[in-house]
Amino acid sequence: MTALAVHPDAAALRSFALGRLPEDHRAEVEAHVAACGDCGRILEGAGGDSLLDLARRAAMSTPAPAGSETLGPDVESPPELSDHPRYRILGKLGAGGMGVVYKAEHRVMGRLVALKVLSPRTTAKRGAVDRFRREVRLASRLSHPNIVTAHDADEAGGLHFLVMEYVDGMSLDKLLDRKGSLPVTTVCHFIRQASLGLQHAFERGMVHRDIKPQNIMVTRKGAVKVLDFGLACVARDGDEATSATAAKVTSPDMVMGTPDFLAPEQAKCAVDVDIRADLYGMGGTLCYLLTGQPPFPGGTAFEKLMAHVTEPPPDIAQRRPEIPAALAAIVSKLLAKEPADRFATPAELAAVLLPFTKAATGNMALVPVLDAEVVAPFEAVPAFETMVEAPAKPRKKKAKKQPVPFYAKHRSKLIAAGIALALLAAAGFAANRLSGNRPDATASNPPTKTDSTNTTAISPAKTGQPSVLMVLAPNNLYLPDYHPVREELERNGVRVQTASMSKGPCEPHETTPGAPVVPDLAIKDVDPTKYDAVIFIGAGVWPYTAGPGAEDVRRIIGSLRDRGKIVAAICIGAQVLHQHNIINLQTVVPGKKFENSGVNRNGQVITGGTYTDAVPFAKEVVRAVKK
Amino acid sequence: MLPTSASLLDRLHSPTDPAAWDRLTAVYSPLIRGWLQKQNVRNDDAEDLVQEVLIVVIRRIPEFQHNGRTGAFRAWLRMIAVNVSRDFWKAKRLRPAVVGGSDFGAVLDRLADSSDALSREWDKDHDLFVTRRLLELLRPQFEATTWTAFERFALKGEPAAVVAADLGITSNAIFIAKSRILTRLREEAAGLLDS
Repeated sequence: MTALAVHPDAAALRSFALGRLPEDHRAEVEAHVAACGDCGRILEGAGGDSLLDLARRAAMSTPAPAGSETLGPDVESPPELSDHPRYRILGKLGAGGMGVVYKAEHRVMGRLVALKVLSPRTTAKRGAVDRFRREVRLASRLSHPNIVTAHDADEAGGLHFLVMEYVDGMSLDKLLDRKGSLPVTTVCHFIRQASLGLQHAFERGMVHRDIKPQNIMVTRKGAVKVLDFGLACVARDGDEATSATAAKVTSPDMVMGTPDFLAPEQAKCAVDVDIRADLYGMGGTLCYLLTGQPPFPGGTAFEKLMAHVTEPPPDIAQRRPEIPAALAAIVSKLLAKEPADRFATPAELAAVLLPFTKAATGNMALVPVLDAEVVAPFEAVPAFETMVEAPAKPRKKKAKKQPVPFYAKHRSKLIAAGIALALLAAAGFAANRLSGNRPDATASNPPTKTDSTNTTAISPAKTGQPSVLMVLAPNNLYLPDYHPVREELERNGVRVQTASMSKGPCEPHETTPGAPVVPDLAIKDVDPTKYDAVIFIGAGVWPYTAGPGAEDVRRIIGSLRDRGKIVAAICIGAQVLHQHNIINLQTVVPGKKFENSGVNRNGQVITGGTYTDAVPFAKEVVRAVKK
Repeated sequence: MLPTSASLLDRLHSPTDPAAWDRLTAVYSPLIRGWLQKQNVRNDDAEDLVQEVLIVVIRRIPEFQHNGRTGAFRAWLRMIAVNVSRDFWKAKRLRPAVVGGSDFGAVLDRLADSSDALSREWDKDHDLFVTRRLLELLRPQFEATTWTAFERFALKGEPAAVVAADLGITSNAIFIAKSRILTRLREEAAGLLDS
């Protein structure tokens, strides 16, 4: 077989590596590759595809065919641990790349612990066990409220396991999945706490090496704890062996999972990284928690590694407009390619994040700008004063009871702030559209079959009674947009159902104190054919414009428009319509201040400018659905 | 010397390849048998059922056209397994191995519905299982060193240089091993698996 005189191109090499080439071409490439070091280096990092994934999983697992119904309680724990003298296994907490984690109880002391049992695959690697023990010895020196404490390392019947503090909570990636989106201040608080833990470790000479949202936990009480210190190097072995002569770009096979949060210097040479690699990971984590995506979301593991090394970091303010520019700059600094360009220590990061953990003052919701003919005149008197008072039943958290609603008292200041922010937002949205950002549909659950018996405690619709769906922002819900509109609709015999990212309560915007609103449905369960209109209520509408809810919003709007039904929004909710190309928020109504734009109807689209338009807006919707 | 390069599914259509049937049996019997055992079907009944399912597959494969839809073969096989099982069950030829065992009929109904979660789980298990079996069956066709190189580098994720040093071969030889084995796996699995 004659060898190819020139190198095969990258695509051919990749196909060769994955077994996709027809046999004669494959044999030619093989003959060339047998002697070519350059091609060898490329092949090493060629990545995988679905068949290779399947083969890997098949090699690891012993699948039990589906349809099995267990008759008794599942045996959760490995047999080697069932009779351990000190620990009694209570159940399984989860599984990761390195092994399975169990909840256990110290038989004598009764203390709850987590046992991380390393998979034989991990411990089979050369030197892994020694490395493991060494790391655990170091990690057990760490004692800080923001670090998950490692108590002990032990072994039973050949299974090596780590005894750790039991954390009653969930990792930040799961939290984000569950809530759909997290407020900026909350995210900054979490990361700041994690940085304090990281600083503690740094002062004791330890580097984490695997900072990512899956490794940061938050307890039910809100405490943040960093998990798995020093263990990253146990799974990624061979650093010592490969050394300088091997390919500079680490094979993706060495990296656990997808390298979404890996620092560039770690991608090049995993051995001598310092705490600043962890700061890069913090930057990636901040990016993920704020925008729902890691810094370089697309591509294969190999392409991501290359991106960390070569591509400039994203400007996260582009992905989520309400992120302050200063915070976006912090993230960019954390994601700098050169470690010297990042912060020097986690303590520095904690310090610069501090101002972003408090609610900023004057942070009023933004008012959109419309162009269309005015249907109802601007009403000067806010209609909400009668209804936005302290709730009848006490809230779990403290409620600010104010005799006069905050926004009435500070109207002019809020409006001024609102104008400035709205202009920024309009610019942000224009830039967003120009850069071609599509709403990112990363729904964690695929849409389920809609079930008409899904709703809870809602009186059945009388025949002929119009039905309206209100889609609510899961965070920063602007109550003076929501309550008056709903009450006006119901007062006029319209049936109202509410939906949000999940069925969990929608927290009100801090300038609009009141009880959280619990929606009837999660947006993925909405059957749009049941409604005559949909209304979007802001202010935290990012999940619907660019976040995980965007697909469902597209589906709902599409269905209603196909049936000639009404699509509506008030105040910030209009940004959802803008992002989904239903309206265009560009022109200021000439001769008037934009929040005076009032209520506008354009065909089957109705918009309200601000909370003061709530009642006339709702009346317009009523008129439209009753026709 | 590598065998012919047509996929297993293609070879099953050809009347002149009895080895293909042996291969099908080797791949699918354990899958179907294991599933039946989880349903608490007694071992001797399970053996009968496995034979019956495979016979139906053999008889009806000329009718099966892979129309390019993903998972077509898998779904077709699932339906055959469900229908044969249901016939057995209705004829009361299945005695439950355990008193108070699960309602076999209900499970069958769910498996007959492609959109049911149980069905999709079955599909996923099918893919994993078939891949595993195919890898096991392909293994003897390669030299031990070649296979070990593939297993450690491509499947277990060890770095090439380490594996190369251990086995006394070059890194490039490892990539070639991966290429050859994946090529064969892809050929064998064509039509049976989603990828």
